[in-house]
Amino acid sequence: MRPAIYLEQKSIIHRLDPRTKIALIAFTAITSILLDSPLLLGVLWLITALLLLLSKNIRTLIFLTVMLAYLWGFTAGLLFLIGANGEASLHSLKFFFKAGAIVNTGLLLAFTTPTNILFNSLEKLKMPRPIILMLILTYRFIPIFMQAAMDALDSLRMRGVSLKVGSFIREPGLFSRGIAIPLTMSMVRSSRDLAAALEARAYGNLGKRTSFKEVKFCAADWLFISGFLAFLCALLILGWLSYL
Amino acid sequence: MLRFGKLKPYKENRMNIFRYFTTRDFVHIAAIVAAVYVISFITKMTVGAIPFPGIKTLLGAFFTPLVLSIGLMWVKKVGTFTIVMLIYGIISGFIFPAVLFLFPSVVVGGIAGDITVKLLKGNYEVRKNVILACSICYFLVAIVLFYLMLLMGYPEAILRHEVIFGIAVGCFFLAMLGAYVGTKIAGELRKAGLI
Repeated sequence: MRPAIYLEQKSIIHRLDPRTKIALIAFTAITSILLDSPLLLGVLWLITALLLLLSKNIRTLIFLTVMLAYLWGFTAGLLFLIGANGEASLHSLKFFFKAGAIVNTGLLLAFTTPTNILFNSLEKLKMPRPIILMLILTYRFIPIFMQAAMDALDSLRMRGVSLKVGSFIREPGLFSRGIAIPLTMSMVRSSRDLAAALEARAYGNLGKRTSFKEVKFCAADWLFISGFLAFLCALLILGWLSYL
Repeated sequence: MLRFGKLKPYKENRMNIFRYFTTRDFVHIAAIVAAVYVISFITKMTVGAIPFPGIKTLLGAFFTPLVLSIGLMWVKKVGTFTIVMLIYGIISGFIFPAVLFLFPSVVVGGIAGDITVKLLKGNYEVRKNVILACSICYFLVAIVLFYLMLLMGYPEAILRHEVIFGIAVGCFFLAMLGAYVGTKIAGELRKAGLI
């Protein structure tokens, strides 16, 4: 398991405008809320899985599918133990298809969009600049802090501390001493330096900003989004007909 | 003779939209969100294989406020909690996709935390405000998160109302404990002149 951050590949999905992918997430979320049939939700999940496959993220797709099957299997088992009927297990499948479809589209955006392009497109979507600044910085800080946390874990291991599953639950003090404090120190140092550098350059007092790479909504984006919308409409109509 | 243009009055380095926060605050908030994200990632990784509903939320409710409370005592301003949770929600949507459940729940939690501190007529400089805000935030995060899961079709036979309430109360007390430890660390860091 690792945080989903951009992976450089060459695929149709990589070439799409980030706004198309954001729209994809929104449409998938709305459709998954509106649909109620497990079969149609399964089709929706399958299509989003195919899109993930198209973006050449096979390992992630396999991991997600196995995780989804495991979670559903556990829930179905729990329902069986409680004494619920088979229909309840089928009903629970809907939740996992809905969540799986949204997760697939979310990962599609994360894995196929470079950070600078993503935030350029957010600026085009009229998102406030302070929010974009914070998003960019958070995105930049995560790998740094992750490395700091991993270093802290390694240093604990080297001192002979056992870091098995649940060791933090049994000994929460270990977590605060071993990870939280080194991470906080890293957080304070990095952000103080960066804040000083930004203030020294009068960041925030400037006027209109320009960008080296401009994002543009092209024909492929329109084609992709209209095709996906047509597919979602077909699913919704089928769902409505089955409800009648 | 040298002629100078009309001198503009000195303007503080503040952005148009959030005049209340400075660039320095925004950078600090971004660092806090990243640290919270890393902590929640490690927590989820530790108990990822245990699929009981609520385990991750309960653990997150203890470990996340530990760092969050340090961050809140660092920035101090009311409104920080909402912005931290807003950015955390968006980032979670982008790179740890749980946008549909996590985003609304954490934003509601952040707003509730800020309202609590505003009602207490204080800011995040006072330890008890931070502890109470974190507790209320995580109580609401659990409530909103699980009801959204029910809304999305999670079986009600497993997530019963009393179970959700029990998890939320557990989150309240664990967040209180986590924030208590966090504020203690923040106090030491303040004494050392780091924050």
